[in-house]
Amino acid sequence: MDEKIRREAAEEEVQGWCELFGGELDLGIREKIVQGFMAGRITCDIKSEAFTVHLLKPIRLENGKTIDSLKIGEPDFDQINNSERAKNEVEQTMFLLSSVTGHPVGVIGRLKMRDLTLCGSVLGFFG
Amino acid sequence: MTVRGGDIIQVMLFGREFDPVPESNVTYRLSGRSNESKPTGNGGMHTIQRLKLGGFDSLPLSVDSSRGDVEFLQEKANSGEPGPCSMTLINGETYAGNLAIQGEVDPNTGDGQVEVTALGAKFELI
Repeated sequence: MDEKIRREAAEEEVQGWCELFGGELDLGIREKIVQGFMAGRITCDIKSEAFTVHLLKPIRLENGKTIDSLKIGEPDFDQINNSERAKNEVEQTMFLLSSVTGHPVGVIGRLKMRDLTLCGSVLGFFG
Repeated sequence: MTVRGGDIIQVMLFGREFDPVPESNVTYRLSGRSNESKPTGNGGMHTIQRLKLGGFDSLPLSVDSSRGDVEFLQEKANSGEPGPCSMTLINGETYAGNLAIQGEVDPNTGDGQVEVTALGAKFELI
């Protein structure tokens, strides 16, 4: 992975986000986010309190368009409640990502594993 | 074996997710063109082609009145502006486009459902 930002700066930035959003990240998730930030794949818009994740593998749609980033904001109660119909944790993440990004679950389902993992990790800031 | 039909597993209208009614059988159409052909006197074909809007007819949704589902849809109908709508089928295919609500948004108290028709210049497989 290309390192665009130094680790110390990345860790400081992620710590700042944790304090801003009040989320507790476990070590594994935190490391994924730090690495994602170091690679320039995650940005945070403080004003809108949302993260943008730039995808390693953009999603190609059948109509020829491409989705190369996802904007992930804080889910509300309805969105969380709705996601709990999922059969498992991965599916729950997909439903939540669908709700907060506005993209249909059929599109979110095309995320490759590394992108899905990073996007799911970002949701941890809000939990 | 490819799944050919079945439930709609997700409906998103104007940024809000709605609960699709199970076992619904919804007519949807892709935007594009439609043809009307007639024979000519000498055995040929005379075709008139017209543009057609895409969208869906009478999509039944389970109403959650605590969220103000019907009020939300009526507000979108009042504005008359198209907005992002999508429908994901059980086989994973997703159709989407910017659609405007058509006709009435009248819920039924007995079965707790409302049928929504929406059309737009583009509704396509994404």
